[in-house]
Amino acid sequence: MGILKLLRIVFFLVLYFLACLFIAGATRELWTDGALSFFVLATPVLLVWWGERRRVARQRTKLTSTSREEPAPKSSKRVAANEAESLRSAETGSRKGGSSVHGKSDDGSLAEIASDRPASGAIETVPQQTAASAGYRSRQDNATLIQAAQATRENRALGLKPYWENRAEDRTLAEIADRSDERKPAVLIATVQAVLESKIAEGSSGAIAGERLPRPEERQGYRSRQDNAALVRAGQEMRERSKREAEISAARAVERPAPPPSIADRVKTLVPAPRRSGWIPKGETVVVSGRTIGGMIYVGTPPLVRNDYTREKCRAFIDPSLQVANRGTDRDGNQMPYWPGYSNIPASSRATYLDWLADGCRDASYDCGYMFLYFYGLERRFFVDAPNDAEKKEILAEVRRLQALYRDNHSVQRYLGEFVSVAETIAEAPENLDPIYDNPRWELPLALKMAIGAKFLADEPLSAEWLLSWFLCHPEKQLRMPAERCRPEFMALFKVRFSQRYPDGLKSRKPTRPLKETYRAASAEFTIEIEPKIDGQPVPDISGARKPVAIAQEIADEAMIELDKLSRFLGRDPDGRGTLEAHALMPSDLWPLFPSAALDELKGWVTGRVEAGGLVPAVDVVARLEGHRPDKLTKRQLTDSGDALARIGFGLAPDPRFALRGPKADEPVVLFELGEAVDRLEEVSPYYRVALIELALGTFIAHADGEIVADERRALERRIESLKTVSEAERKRLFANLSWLLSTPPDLPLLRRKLKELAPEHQKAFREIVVAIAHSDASIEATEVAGIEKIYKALGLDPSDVYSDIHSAGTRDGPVRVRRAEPGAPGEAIPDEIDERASAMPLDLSRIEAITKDTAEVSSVLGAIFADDLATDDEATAPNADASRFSGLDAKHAAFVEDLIAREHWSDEEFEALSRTHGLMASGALETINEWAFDNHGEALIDAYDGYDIEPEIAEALKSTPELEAA
Amino acid sequence: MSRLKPRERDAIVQALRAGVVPKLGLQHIQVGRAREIGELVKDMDRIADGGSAIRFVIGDYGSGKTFFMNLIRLVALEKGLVVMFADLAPDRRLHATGGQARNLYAEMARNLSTRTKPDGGALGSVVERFVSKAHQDAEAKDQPTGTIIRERLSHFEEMTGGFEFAEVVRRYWEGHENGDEDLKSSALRWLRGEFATRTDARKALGVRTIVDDASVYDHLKLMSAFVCAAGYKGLLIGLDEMVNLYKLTSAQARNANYEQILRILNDVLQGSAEHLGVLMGGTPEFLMNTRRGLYSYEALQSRLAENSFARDGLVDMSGPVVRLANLTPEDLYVLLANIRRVMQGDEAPVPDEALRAFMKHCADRIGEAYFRTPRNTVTAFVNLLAVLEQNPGTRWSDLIQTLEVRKDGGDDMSEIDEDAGAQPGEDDLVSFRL
Repeated sequence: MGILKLLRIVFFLVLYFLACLFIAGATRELWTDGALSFFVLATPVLLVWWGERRRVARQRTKLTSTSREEPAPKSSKRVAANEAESLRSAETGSRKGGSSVHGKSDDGSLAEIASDRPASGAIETVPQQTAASAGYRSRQDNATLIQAAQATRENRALGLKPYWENRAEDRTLAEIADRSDERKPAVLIATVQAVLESKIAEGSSGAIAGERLPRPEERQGYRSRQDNAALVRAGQEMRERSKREAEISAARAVERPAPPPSIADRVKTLVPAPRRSGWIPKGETVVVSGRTIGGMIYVGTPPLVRNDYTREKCRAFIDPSLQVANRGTDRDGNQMPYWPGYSNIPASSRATYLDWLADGCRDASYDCGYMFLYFYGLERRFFVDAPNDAEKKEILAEVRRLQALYRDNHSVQRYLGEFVSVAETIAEAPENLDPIYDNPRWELPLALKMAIGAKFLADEPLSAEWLLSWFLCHPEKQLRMPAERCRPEFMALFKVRFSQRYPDGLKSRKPTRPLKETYRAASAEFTIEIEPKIDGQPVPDISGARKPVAIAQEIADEAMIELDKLSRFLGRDPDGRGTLEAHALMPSDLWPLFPSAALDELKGWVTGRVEAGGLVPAVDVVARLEGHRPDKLTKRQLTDSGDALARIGFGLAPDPRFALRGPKADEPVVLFELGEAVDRLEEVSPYYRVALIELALGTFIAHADGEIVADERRALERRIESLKTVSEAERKRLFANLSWLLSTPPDLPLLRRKLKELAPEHQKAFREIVVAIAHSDASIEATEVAGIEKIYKALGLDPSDVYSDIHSAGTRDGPVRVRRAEPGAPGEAIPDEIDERASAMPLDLSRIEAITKDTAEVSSVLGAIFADDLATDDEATAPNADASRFSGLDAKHAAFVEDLIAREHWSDEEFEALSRTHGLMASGALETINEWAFDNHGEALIDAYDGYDIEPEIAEALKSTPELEAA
Repeated sequence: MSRLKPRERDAIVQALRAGVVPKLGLQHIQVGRAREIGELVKDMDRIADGGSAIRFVIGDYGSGKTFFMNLIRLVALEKGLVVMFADLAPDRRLHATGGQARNLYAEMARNLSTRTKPDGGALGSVVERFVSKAHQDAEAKDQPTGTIIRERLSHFEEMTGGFEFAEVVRRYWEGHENGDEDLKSSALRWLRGEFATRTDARKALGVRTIVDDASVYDHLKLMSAFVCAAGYKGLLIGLDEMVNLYKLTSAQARNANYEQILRILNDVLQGSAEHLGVLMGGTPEFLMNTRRGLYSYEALQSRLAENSFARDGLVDMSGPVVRLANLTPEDLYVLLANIRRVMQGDEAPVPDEALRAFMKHCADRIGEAYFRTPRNTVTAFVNLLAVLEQNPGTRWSDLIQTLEVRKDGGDDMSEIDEDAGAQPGEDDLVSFRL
C-alpha cells in the first residue's frame, strides 16, 4: 500500500515536473527566472498533493454509497450539510478536512500552526490523520480507522456513531494526553484556542461567523464550554492514570446526571458508566433554549458512550450548552445526518428538534430523524436505566404512540417495532400480550415467542388466536390471494375452523430449546441479551416448532378455499366488501361474525316479497343484491343472485342453470322459501330436471289459450305433488318454478331445443302432462291443440297422435260411476277364481265388474226399447180405426191383411195384384201394416225378401183375433 | 236383460262371423257406455217429440263409432224415426260443386230406412205410405187425391225447394193412378237425387229443379218434414267417416263443408229444425286438428267447446260432442262374455278361463290390436264357439292354440259392411248397409 502510494507520488511528481518544464520552456519570455523556477518546482508538488486528496475523498464516497442503508442522494445531502458544519468542527478541535473552502482553510491554518509550533510528534499526527479522514461522515470513516487501529470491531456498532463526532479525534486527544502526561491541559487548551481564534479571525464564513461572533469574554466562556467535551474526554482518560481530573472537572459548566444504575445482568452496555444522566421523567418539564419541553428526555451534558473501540456522545442527551438557532427551519431534516445525535446536528436542526419536542412530539410532518433522536432517549431509558415497571409501561406506550404517528415510515416501523416487540415482553406479563398478526420480518416477534412459549411452559393448549398469530408471523406460511384480499374474513374463518377442529385448543409438544433474544439499540449505543424466565423456568423457544404451523397451514388452506368465491368477487370489485353479494359469498359460518345491516334488510325485503306472493321483477332482485340496476341480466348475475339468496334461505326461480331460459330484465322472478338450507343449488336430481321440463310443457299449453285458469294451475300443482322421485326441497323449487312459468310467456324455440336434448324415455310423461293440462280446464281450445301439435313435433312424435291422445285422455277410460256399487247387485257375476293364466293376462277385475254393471244398465235401457211391448196392445186402438177386424188398421188394410194371412208366401206380382184389388199401393200398404204389426205384435207381419213372407206366428195370432174381438 | 230371441241370436252370430255390426240384438252385446247411449236415446225421444239434436260421435279407429251409431240407428228406428245414414267419401261430401254433395244425398236417400224396412230403400215405402194415406183421406172426404196431397204439402212450399218436392210427390200419385210406372220411378229418382240435370228432370217430371249440390241440406229438411207428414215421428241423419272432410286438401272446399256443418248445427241448436236429428261420426283428428279439423273453423270450435263446468268426474253429456273411449282388455272381456252368453245361453258355457286364455292368445298374436280393433278377435271367438257347439266333446283348450287371428288391416267395420249390402254392383263405392 505504502510503496504503491510512494511510487504513485513520485510518478506524478516527475510527470507534472516535466509538464511544467515544458510549459515553462514554451513561455520562457513571459516569466521572470524566479517565477519560472518557482512554478516549475512548486506546481507539481501542489498538483500531486491535491490529486491525493481527491483520491481519498473519492474512495470514501464510494464506500459510503455502497454500504449506507439510506439512498445515496440523502447521504450525499447529509454530507453536504455536514460540510457546512466544518466550522464548528474546527471549533471543537476536530481536524476534519472538507472539500469546502472553510475546511481547506482550516487545514491550512492547522498546517501553519503545526509548522509554527515546536510540535511534538503527537501534535503533528493530528493534521495528518485528519487529512487522511477528510470528508468522513459515516461509519465507513470509522471502518477505515478501525482497520488502521483495531481490526476486529463490529462494523454495525461503529456505524451507529454520528459521523462528526470524530472518534479518531478523541483517540488522538487521548493519545495526546497519554503521551504527554507531564503536559498541562492548559497547553492543549491553548493549542485548540489558537486554532479556533485563527479561524475566527479569518472570518471566512461571513454569515456563520457574524452570527456567532460573541463578545470576547463570552467567547472565552463559550469556548471553554464548547471545548470541554473534548477536554473531558481527554481528561477522563487521564484521570485514571494521572489523577488530575479535579482540575478538568472544575472547568465544567453544566451539571451532569448521575451514572445510570447498573443492569449488568441483562445489559451489556458499551457505556463505561456515564457520569450523569439528566432524565426528565414524564410530567416534568424543562426549559431548553426558551422552549418548554415535557418529560421523557435526557437533558445535560451527554455522557460518552462507548463502542468497542471508540466513544461518542450519547445521542439522546440534549446538551443545553450547545448552540440552538432561533428558529427551527429544518423540518425536513435536510441537515440531519442519518444517525443523528443532539450534539452533532446543526443549530437549526436542534431548534427544530426542540420545537418538535415542545409541541409534544405530535407532529409527524417533522423528519423522522427528530423522532429517532427522541426515541434514542426512550430506548436508553428503558433498557439502560431500567426504571420501574410503571415507567416502562409509560415508555412503551409512548413508543407505540410514536410508532403510530410515523405509520408510513418503514424505518420507524422497523426500529420502533423491534423495540416494542422486545419491550413489551419485558414490560408486560406474557398473559397480557396480544397476538400479533403482522410481521414484516423474517423472525417471529419476541412477544409472540414469549406469549406462546409461556403457554407451552404452562402446558396450556393453544387458542385459535395464538395459533393464527403464530401462523401469520411465521416465515414459512403459504397464503394465497383470498387470505390477503379477505383478511378479516380469513382470520375469522380460520378461528372458526380451528375451533371446529380443536374445540379444546391445540396441544403440542413443548420445544426444549430456551428462548434467547438479542436487542440491538436503534441508537447503536448498546446491545441487550434477553433470556426471559417465568417463575424461574426458561421460556421454551417456539421458533423451531413445526407441527402447529403445519396444522395451521392446513386450516388456512381450507379457509382460503372457502373464501375463493368471495375473493374473486372482491377482486372484480374491490369496493364490494360489505355488499350483499359479497356477504352472500362468505361461508355461512362467518355471517354472525360479520353482521350486515344490508343483509338483514334484504332478508326483510325478501320475506315481505315472499309473503306477497313471491313475484318480483328480476331486475329488482339483482339490483338489491348488486347495488345497481343492470340494463341487461346475464346468466352469471342470476346464478349469483340465486346463490346469494339460497344462503339466506330463499330460492330464486327460475334458476338459470336448469331453466329453459332466464328471465329478461323486466320479467318477474319468483322468490320462495327454500325450506331447508341448500348449500349447492347446482346439485339436483335428474328427476327434477325432467319435472322442470314437464312443467314448462304444461305451462306452455296452459298459456296457449291466452289465460291461465285455476284448473290448469291446479292440475300442474297436482302433477308436482304426484312426483314421487323428487325430494321435498326440490318440490318446493318446482312449485316456485311453476309460478314463474305461469307468470311469464313461454318460448317455444327454446323449449324445442331443450326437448331435443332429452332422452326419448321421458316422452310418455311429456305427452301425458301436455294432454292433461289441455284437459284440465275441461274445454280443449284450438290454440291448446295447436300448442300440443307443436310440442309433439318438437318431441319428434307423429303430430297425428295428438288427437288420439287428447281424445283418450278426454274420454274416461272407465265408465262413470253413476251410483255406488252395491254388493250383490243383480247382473252377471264374474267368477272370482283366477287361474295362473289370469296373472299372465292381467285384467282389472273391479273394472270388469264396473263394465258389467254398465253393460247391464245399457241392456236394460235398450231392452226396454227393443222389447215387444205388448202391454200397450189393448189401448193402442187407432183413432181412425173404423170397424176393422184389427184395431189400429183401417178397413182397407184390415181386409188386405185378412187376405194376406191366408198364405205364408206371396210373390211380388201376387202381392202387387192383391194390393191393387184392395185399392192400396203395395209399398205403402206394407209399410202401414208392418208399422201396425210392430206396434201391436212387436214384429213385422210381412217380411219383404224375395217376395213377401208372412210371419206365421202373427198370422196365427191374427187369425184368432176376430173371435176375440167378436167375443 | 231383455229376452234373447232366437232370430236375434242368429242375426248376431251371422253378423259377427262375417265381421260386421249386427243389425239386430245389439243390445245383447253392447258393452258399457250406458251414459252415452242413455243420452242419445233421450235425443231420439226428443226428435220424436218434435225437437232436434246433433251429435258428433268422436272416437279412434276401433273404438266402436260405427257400432255405436248403428245402435243408435236401431234405437231410432225402434222409436219410429226414419233414418238416413251414409258414409262420407271423397265423392260424397256435404258441400261441393261437382255433384259430390248430391251423391251424398243420393246415398242417404238410398239408405233411407224405416222400422219395417231397416235395410234401407224405404223411400218408396215412405212416399207410398204418404200417398196412400192421402188417398184414403181423399176417399173419405170425397175429394181428388191430388188436392189432398197439395193441401198436405202446402206448407212445404214455404221451404226452399218445397214446391218442387210437393210437385214430385203428386207426380208419383199420378203415376200410380195412371199405372205409369215410369213416372213413379222418375219421381222416386228425383226424390233420391238421382237426376243429374234439370233437363232430364223436366222431361221426366216437368219440374224445373233437381236436388243439386247447393240444396242438399234443404232437401234433408224437406225430407224430415215429409216423413212426419207420412206419419213417422222424425228423421235421423247419420254421417260417418267425417274424416273425409278433414282429408280434403283444399282449404276452401273444406271450409265450405264446415260451413254446411255449421249451418246444420245452428239450425239444430237454435231449434229451427223440427223432427230432425244429426249424427256425425269422426276421429279425434277430424274434430281437433287445428289446421284442417273442425277446430280450424273458429265458429265451430267455439260451439263445440265442452262445458267448462264438466270436469273432475262431473259429466255433461248434453254437449254436441260424444267421445268414445278406446276399448280396453276389460271391455273386450265383457264383450266376449256377452257373446258367449248369446251363443251358448246360460247353460254350460265355456269357463271364464277360456275367455282369458283366448285373449292371451290373441294378445300374443297381434298385440294390442286385439282389443283396440276387436273385429277379428270377435270373429275368431265366434268361430271358436261355433266349432265347440257343433263338435260336442271338443275341448276349448285344444282349439285355442290352433286359432288363427289376423290383424285387422281395415279402418273401420263399415267398409266390410258393404259385403252385406243389399245392392251389390250398383255402386262401386263404399256404401253403408245393414
